Amino acid sequence: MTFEEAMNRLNEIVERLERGNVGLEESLALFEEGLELHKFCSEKLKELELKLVEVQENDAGDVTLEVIEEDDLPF
Amino acid sequence: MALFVVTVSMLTDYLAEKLEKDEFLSQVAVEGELSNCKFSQGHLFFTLKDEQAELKGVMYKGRASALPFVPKDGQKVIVFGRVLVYKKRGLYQLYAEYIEPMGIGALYLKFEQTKEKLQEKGYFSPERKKSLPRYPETIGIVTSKTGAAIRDILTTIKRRWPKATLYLVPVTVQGEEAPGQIVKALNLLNRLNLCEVIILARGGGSFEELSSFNEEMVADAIYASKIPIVTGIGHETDVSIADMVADLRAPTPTGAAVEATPDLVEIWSTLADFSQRIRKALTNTLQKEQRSLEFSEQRLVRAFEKIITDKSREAAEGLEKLIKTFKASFIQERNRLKLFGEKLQLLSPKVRKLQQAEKLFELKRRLFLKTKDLLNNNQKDLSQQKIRLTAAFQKQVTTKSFSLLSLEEKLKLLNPLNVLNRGYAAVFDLDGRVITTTKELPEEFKIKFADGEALAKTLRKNIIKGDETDDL
Repeated sequence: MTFEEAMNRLNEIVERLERGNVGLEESLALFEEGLELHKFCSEKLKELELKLVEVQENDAGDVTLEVIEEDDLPF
Repeated sequence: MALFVVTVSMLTDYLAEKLEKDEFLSQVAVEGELSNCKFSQGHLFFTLKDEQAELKGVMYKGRASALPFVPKDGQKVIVFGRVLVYKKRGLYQLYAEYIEPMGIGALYLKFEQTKEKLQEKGYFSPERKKSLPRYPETIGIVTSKTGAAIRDILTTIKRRWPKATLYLVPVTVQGEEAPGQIVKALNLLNRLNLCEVIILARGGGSFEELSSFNEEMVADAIYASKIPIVTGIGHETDVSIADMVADLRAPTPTGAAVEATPDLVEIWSTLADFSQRIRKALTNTLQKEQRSLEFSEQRLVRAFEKIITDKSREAAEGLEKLIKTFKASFIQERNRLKLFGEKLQLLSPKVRKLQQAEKLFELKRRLFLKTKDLLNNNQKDLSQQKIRLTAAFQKQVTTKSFSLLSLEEKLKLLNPLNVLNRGYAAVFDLDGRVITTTKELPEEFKIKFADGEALAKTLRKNIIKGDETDDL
C-alpha cells in the first residue's frame, strides 16, 4: 500500500465512523483498521527520506541513475 | 535614326542585368500586406501590396521553412530580399530572404498561431487534465541543473516534503536544443515510469528566452505524458504554451514545487486529527450502544416485575378464598356445638354429664373427619380424574389399533395375488391387461403365478360359448 492509498482509506474510515450509522461490529472493525492505517502512515512518514537522483540518457539510449548526496548539492 | 531590333530574350536579359546590378534593388526591405500566399513544393509564393501597387514575391523552401510563423493573407509584414527579373514570365519579383511581421514580433505571432492550433486540437481542455497525487513518493524534475529554478524547487521540497525521491533530468531550457531535450526528458520519465508527478520548470527570462516552452513539440510531449505534469515557467506574468497544456500551471518554479508536494507539518496534524476523531467516533458509538442496552434491560426488568406481581396477586386471592371457606365451616360447627351445649344444660346433671361427654366425643370425631375430608377431597378428585383420563386414552388407542388390524386382514383377502396363492393363475396380454375370455387371448401372453410370471403361446383355442372355433 502506498502512503497516499493509506491516507485516503484512513480519511474514508474517519468519515464513515463520524457519520455514525454503522453497527457496533463494523465500527470496531473500522476502528481497528483505522489504528492500523494510522500506525502504517506514521511509520512510513518516519521512514521516508528525501533523495535526489540524477537521470541521464546518452545518445545510445543508455540510462544512468546517480544519487546526489545532499552535501554535493550546490546550495 | 534607325531602330535596333532586338529579340524578347535580348530585352529581358538586358533588363535582368540592369536590375541585378542595381545596388538598391539588391538589398531591400519592403513593407506591405501579404495576399495570395501559397505554398508549392515548400516554396512560398505571395503578393505584397499596398493601396496603389502590387509586388509579386517568392521565398524558397529552405528559408520559408525556417520562418518561425506561418505567413498568411492579410498580415502586415516587412519583406527583406532583392528584386530580380523572372525572365520566363517577364516579371520582376521580390526574392524574399526573411519576413518580419509588423506590430507584434514573429515569435509572438508564432505563439498565437500555435496556441490557436492546439486549442482546436483540444490540448487545453480541462476535461483531459490529470489530477496530481496528494502524497507523491517520487517526483520527476525537468529543468536546468544549474540556475535558480532547481534551487528554488529543491529548497521548497526540502522544507515542505523531505520525504520524496526526486528524479532530476537536467535539460537546457533555452536555445535551439532546448525543445528537443525537454521532449526527450519527458518521454524518458514516462518510459521508465519513474515518478508519480513531473515538475517542468524554468526561471524567469524574456519572451524569447522562454520560447522553447512555446514549441509545439514540447506541447505534444506534455499532452502525451501519462504522468501528470505541473509547470512553473518564468514569472507570474508569463504564460507559455507548455503552461496551458500542463495538468496544472504554477506561476513560478517554487509554486510548482508547492503544488506538487504536501506539507509534512500539515500531514502530521492531519494524522493527529484523524486519530482523535476516530477515537471520539468510536466512543460515541459505544455510548449509543450502551444506552440502547440499558434501555432494553430496563424494559426486560419491568416486564418481569409485571408478571411476578400478577402471579402473586392470583396466589394471594386463592389463599384468601381458601381461608374464607375454612372460616365459614368453622363458624357453622362452632354454632352447632354451642346449641348442643345449651340443650345439655337443660338435662339432669348426671345424665347430662354422660350425654354431654358422649355427644362431645361424637362431635369431636365428626369435626375431625370433616376437616380431614375437606383436605383430602381435592387431592382425591385430582388423582381420580387422572386415572379416568389415562383409561379413556388407552381405550381409544386400543380401539383404533384393533380396527386397523381388521382392515388390514380384509385388504389381504381382497388382494388378487392372494387368490394366486391358492393355485389359481392370471392371464395378461403383453401390455399388462387382464385377459378374461378365450376370445381375447392373443398369440403371445403372460401367465402370472403367485411367485412370478411366464411368457406363453396360444396353440389352440376352444371356445365353448360363441360361434367360432379357431385352430392355430
